[in-house]
Amino acid sequence: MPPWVKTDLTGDLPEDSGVTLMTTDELVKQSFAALKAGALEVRPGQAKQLAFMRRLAPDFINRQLWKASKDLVPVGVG
Amino acid sequence: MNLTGRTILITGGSAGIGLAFALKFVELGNEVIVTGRRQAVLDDVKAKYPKLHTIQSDVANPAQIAALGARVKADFPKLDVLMNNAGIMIYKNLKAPAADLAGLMTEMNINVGGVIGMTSAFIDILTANKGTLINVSSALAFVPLPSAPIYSATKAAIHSYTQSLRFQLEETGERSSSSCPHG
Repeated sequence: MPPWVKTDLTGDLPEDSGVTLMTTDELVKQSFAALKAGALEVRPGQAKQLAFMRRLAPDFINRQLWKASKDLVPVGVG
Repeated sequence: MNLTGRTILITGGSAGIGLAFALKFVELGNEVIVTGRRQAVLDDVKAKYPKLHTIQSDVANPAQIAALGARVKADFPKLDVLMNNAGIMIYKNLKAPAADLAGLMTEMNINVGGVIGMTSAFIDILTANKGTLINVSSALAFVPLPSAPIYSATKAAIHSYTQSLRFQLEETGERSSSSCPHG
Protein backbone atom coordinates (compact mmCIF):
# COMPACT_ATOMS: atom_id res chain seq x y z
CA MET A 1 0.00 0.00 0.00
CA PRO A 2 1.16 3.56 -0.59
CA PRO A 3 2.30 5.69 2.33
CA TRP A 4 -1.02 6.88 3.66
CA VAL A 5 -0.97 9.91 5.91
CA LYS A 6 -3.10 10.01 9.04
CA THR A 7 -5.69 12.71 8.19
CA ASP A 8 -9.45 13.07 7.86
CA LEU A 9 -9.20 11.53 4.38
CA THR A 10 -8.01 8.26 5.82
CA GLY A 11 -10.19 8.36 8.93
CA ASP A 12 -12.70 5.83 7.60
CA LEU A 13 -10.16 3.14 6.82
CA PRO A 14 -11.05 -0.13 8.51
CA GLU A 15 -8.58 -1.21 11.16
CA ASP A 16 -7.89 -4.50 9.36
CA SER A 17 -7.18 -2.82 5.99
CA GLY A 18 -3.48 -3.53 6.28
CA VAL A 19 -2.67 0.13 5.72
CA THR A 20 0.26 1.67 7.58
CA LEU A 21 -0.40 5.31 8.37
CA MET A 22 2.34 7.94 8.40
CA THR A 23 1.84 10.82 10.84
CA THR A 24 1.64 14.39 9.56
CA ASP A 25 4.66 15.19 11.75
CA GLU A 26 6.75 12.58 9.97
CA LEU A 27 5.48 13.79 6.60
CA VAL A 28 6.40 17.38 7.46
CA LYS A 29 9.83 16.32 8.68
CA GLN A 30 10.65 14.43 5.48
CA SER A 31 9.08 17.04 3.19
CA PHE A 32 10.86 20.03 4.73
CA ALA A 33 14.19 18.24 4.55
CA ALA A 34 13.60 17.54 0.85
CA LEU A 35 12.41 21.09 0.09
CA LYS A 36 15.37 22.55 1.95
CA ALA A 37 17.67 20.40 -0.18
CA GLY A 38 16.04 21.82 -3.31
CA ALA A 39 14.08 18.74 -4.37
CA LEU A 40 11.65 19.38 -7.19
CA GLU A 41 9.68 16.27 -6.33
CA VAL A 42 9.17 15.11 -2.76
CA ARG A 43 8.47 11.41 -2.33
CA PRO A 44 8.06 10.73 1.40
CA GLY A 45 7.82 7.30 2.95
CA GLN A 46 7.09 4.50 0.52
CA ALA A 47 6.18 6.80 -2.38
CA LYS A 48 9.67 6.30 -3.75
CA GLN A 49 9.32 2.51 -3.74
CA LEU A 50 5.89 2.72 -5.35
CA ALA A 51 7.23 4.84 -8.20
CA PHE A 52 10.06 2.34 -8.63
CA MET A 53 7.72 -0.65 -8.62
CA ARG A 54 5.58 1.01 -11.28
CA ARG A 55 8.61 0.92 -13.57
CA LEU A 56 9.89 -2.48 -12.52
CA ALA A 57 6.67 -4.51 -12.38
CA PRO A 58 3.61 -2.39 -13.21
CA ASP A 59 1.11 -5.25 -13.52
CA PHE A 60 2.22 -6.75 -10.21
CA ILE A 61 1.99 -3.52 -8.22
CA ASN A 62 -1.34 -2.56 -9.81
CA ARG A 63 -2.82 -5.90 -8.81
CA GLN A 64 -1.36 -5.66 -5.30
CA LEU A 65 -3.11 -2.33 -4.76
CA TRP A 66 -6.35 -3.72 -6.11
CA LYS A 67 -6.18 -6.73 -3.78
CA ALA A 68 -5.38 -4.54 -0.79
CA SER A 69 -8.15 -2.03 -1.44
CA LYS A 70 -10.96 -4.18 -2.87
CA ASP A 71 -12.96 -4.11 0.36
CA LEU A 72 -13.07 -0.30 0.34
CA VAL A 73 -15.25 -0.17 -2.79
CA PRO A 74 -18.78 0.83 -1.73
CA VAL A 75 -21.39 -1.83 -2.46
CA GLY A 76 -24.17 -0.92 -4.88
CA VAL A 77 -23.43 2.79 -4.99
CA GLY A 78 -21.96 4.57 -8.00
CA MET B 1 13.91 26.30 -1.37
CA ASN B 2 14.41 28.92 1.32
CA LEU B 3 12.07 27.97 4.18
CA THR B 4 12.14 31.20 6.19
CA GLY B 5 10.97 34.76 5.66
CA ARG B 6 8.38 33.79 3.05
CA THR B 7 4.73 34.72 2.67
CA ILE B 8 2.83 31.48 2.08
CA LEU B 9 -0.73 30.68 1.03
CA ILE B 10 -1.96 27.13 1.71
CA THR B 11 -5.31 25.89 0.41
CA GLY B 12 -7.13 23.36 2.55
CA GLY B 13 -5.00 24.51 5.44
CA SER B 14 -7.48 24.13 8.26
CA ALA B 15 -6.72 20.44 8.89
CA GLY B 16 -4.53 17.49 8.01
CA ILE B 17 -1.47 17.92 5.82
CA GLY B 18 -2.20 21.58 5.07
CA LEU B 19 -2.41 22.57 8.74
CA ALA B 20 0.70 20.55 9.62
CA PHE B 21 2.69 22.37 6.92
CA ALA B 22 1.22 25.72 7.96
CA LEU B 23 2.28 25.31 11.59
CA LYS B 24 5.78 24.25 10.62
CA PHE B 25 6.11 27.24 8.27
CA VAL B 26 4.97 29.56 11.08
CA GLU B 27 7.49 27.97 13.45
CA LEU B 28 10.23 28.77 10.90
CA GLY B 29 9.30 32.45 10.83
CA ASN B 30 7.07 32.67 7.78
CA GLU B 31 3.83 34.61 7.28
CA VAL B 32 1.16 31.99 6.58
CA ILE B 33 -2.36 32.32 5.21
CA VAL B 34 -4.60 29.24 5.17
CA THR B 35 -7.87 28.81 3.34
CA GLY B 36 -10.71 26.37 3.88
CA ARG B 37 -14.34 25.89 2.92
CA ARG B 38 -15.87 26.00 6.39
CA GLN B 39 -15.73 29.26 8.32
CA ALA B 40 -16.45 27.58 11.67
CA VAL B 41 -13.43 25.30 11.26
CA LEU B 42 -11.25 28.26 10.28
CA ASP B 43 -12.47 30.15 13.35
CA ASP B 44 -11.38 27.26 15.56
CA VAL B 45 -7.98 27.15 13.86
CA LYS B 46 -7.53 30.90 14.29
CA ALA B 47 -8.45 30.69 17.98
CA LYS B 48 -5.97 27.89 18.52
CA TYR B 49 -3.16 29.31 16.35
CA PRO B 50 -3.51 33.12 16.32
CA LYS B 51 -0.38 33.61 14.20
CA LEU B 52 -2.13 31.99 11.22
CA HIS B 53 -4.16 34.17 8.86
CA THR B 54 -7.39 32.45 7.81
CA ILE B 55 -9.61 33.16 4.82
CA GLN B 56 -12.74 31.26 3.81
CA SER B 57 -12.52 30.17 0.17
CA ASP B 58 -13.58 27.15 -1.87
CA VAL B 59 -11.10 26.10 -4.56
CA ALA B 60 -13.90 24.49 -6.56
CA ASN B 61 -15.60 27.87 -6.98
CA PRO B 62 -13.96 30.10 -9.64
CA ALA B 63 -15.62 33.25 -8.29
CA GLN B 64 -14.22 32.57 -4.84
CA ILE B 65 -10.76 31.94 -6.31
CA ALA B 66 -10.90 35.31 -8.07
CA ALA B 67 -12.02 37.07 -4.89
CA LEU B 68 -9.28 35.34 -2.90
CA GLY B 69 -6.70 36.41 -5.47
CA ALA B 70 -7.73 40.06 -5.26
CA ARG B 71 -7.79 40.04 -1.46
CA VAL B 72 -4.46 38.28 -0.95
CA LYS B 73 -2.65 40.43 -3.54
CA ALA B 74 -3.92 43.56 -1.77
CA ASP B 75 -3.27 42.40 1.79
CA PHE B 76 -0.12 40.29 1.25
CA PRO B 77 1.81 41.81 -1.68
CA LYS B 78 4.93 39.86 -0.73
CA LEU B 79 3.22 36.51 -1.30
CA ASP B 80 5.85 34.22 -2.77
CA VAL B 81 4.70 30.66 -2.03
CA LEU B 82 1.46 28.98 -3.07
CA MET B 83 0.84 25.49 -1.76
CA ASN B 84 -2.06 23.84 -3.59
CA ASN B 85 -3.06 21.30 -0.97
CA ALA B 86 -6.88 21.18 -0.84
CA GLY B 87 -8.22 17.85 -1.93
CA ILE B 88 -10.81 15.19 -1.26
CA MET B 89 -10.93 11.44 -1.80
CA ILE B 90 -14.06 9.36 -2.34
CA TYR B 91 -14.22 5.60 -2.70
CA LYS B 92 -16.19 4.75 -5.84
CA ASN B 93 -17.94 1.72 -7.26
CA LEU B 94 -17.44 2.08 -11.02
CA LYS B 95 -19.75 -0.84 -11.77
CA ALA B 96 -22.84 1.06 -10.64
CA PRO B 97 -24.20 4.15 -12.47
CA ALA B 98 -23.81 7.36 -10.49
CA ALA B 99 -27.05 8.80 -9.17
CA ASP B 100 -25.65 12.31 -9.46
CA LEU B 101 -23.45 13.03 -12.49
CA ALA B 102 -22.50 16.48 -11.21
CA GLY B 103 -21.47 14.99 -7.88
CA LEU B 104 -19.32 12.51 -9.78
CA MET B 105 -17.07 15.41 -10.78
CA THR B 106 -16.52 16.77 -7.27
CA GLU B 107 -13.03 15.33 -6.92
CA MET B 108 -12.07 16.61 -10.38
CA ASN B 109 -13.34 20.10 -9.56
CA ILE B 110 -11.48 20.33 -6.24
CA ASN B 111 -8.32 18.28 -6.83
CA VAL B 112 -7.67 19.34 -10.44
CA GLY B 113 -9.82 22.39 -11.16
CA GLY B 114 -8.82 23.95 -7.86
CA VAL B 115 -5.11 23.59 -8.53
CA ILE B 116 -5.35 24.91 -12.08
CA GLY B 117 -7.60 27.81 -11.05
CA MET B 118 -5.49 28.81 -8.06
CA THR B 119 -2.27 28.60 -10.04
CA SER B 120 -3.69 30.82 -12.76
CA ALA B 121 -5.07 33.33 -10.26
CA PHE B 122 -1.72 33.69 -8.48
CA ILE B 123 0.83 33.13 -11.22
CA ASP B 124 1.40 36.84 -11.76
CA ILE B 125 2.29 37.67 -8.16
CA LEU B 126 4.34 34.50 -7.75
CA THR B 127 6.34 35.31 -10.87
CA ALA B 128 6.81 38.94 -9.82
CA ASN B 129 8.10 37.82 -6.41
CA LYS B 130 10.22 34.96 -7.87
CA GLY B 131 8.14 32.61 -5.79
CA THR B 132 7.58 28.90 -5.37
CA LEU B 133 4.59 26.78 -6.24
CA ILE B 134 4.02 23.53 -4.33
CA ASN B 135 1.36 21.13 -5.59
CA VAL B 136 0.41 18.28 -3.28
CA SER B 137 0.08 15.16 -5.37
CA SER B 138 0.10 11.56 -4.17
CA ALA B 139 1.94 8.30 -4.55
CA LEU B 140 -1.29 7.23 -6.22
CA ALA B 141 -0.26 9.41 -9.16
CA PHE B 142 2.13 6.58 -10.04
CA VAL B 143 -0.08 3.57 -9.35
CA PRO B 144 -3.86 3.90 -8.93
CA LEU B 145 -5.74 2.74 -5.88
CA PRO B 146 -8.68 1.11 -7.71
CA SER B 147 -11.10 1.73 -4.83
CA ALA B 148 -10.47 5.50 -5.20
CA PRO B 149 -10.30 5.68 -9.01
CA ILE B 150 -11.18 9.33 -9.55
CA TYR B 151 -8.89 10.52 -6.75
CA SER B 152 -6.01 8.52 -8.24
CA ALA B 153 -6.72 9.99 -11.69
CA THR B 154 -6.75 13.54 -10.28
CA LYS B 155 -3.36 13.04 -8.65
CA ALA B 156 -1.88 11.67 -11.87
CA ALA B 157 -3.21 14.79 -13.60
CA ILE B 158 -1.62 17.05 -11.00
CA HIS B 159 1.71 15.29 -11.31
CA SER B 160 1.69 15.81 -15.08
CA TYR B 161 0.47 19.42 -14.81
CA THR B 162 3.24 20.24 -12.31
CA GLN B 163 5.88 18.84 -14.64
CA SER B 164 4.62 21.10 -17.43
CA LEU B 165 4.55 24.08 -15.08
CA ARG B 166 8.15 23.42 -14.12
CA PHE B 167 9.29 23.74 -17.73
CA GLN B 168 7.16 26.78 -18.54
CA LEU B 169 8.35 28.58 -15.40
CA GLU B 170 12.03 27.70 -15.54
CA GLU B 171 13.02 31.00 -17.14
CA THR B 172 10.92 33.14 -14.82
CA GLY B 173 12.83 32.44 -11.61
CA GLU B 174 9.78 30.78 -10.15
CA ARG B 175 9.96 27.15 -8.98
CA SER B 176 7.31 24.48 -8.93
CA SER B 177 7.52 21.38 -6.76
CA SER B 178 5.22 18.46 -6.20
CA SER B 179 4.84 16.48 -3.02
CA CYS B 180 3.58 12.92 -3.15
CA PRO B 181 2.10 11.92 0.18
CA HIS B 182 -1.35 10.47 0.35
CA GLY B 183 -4.08 11.29 2.81
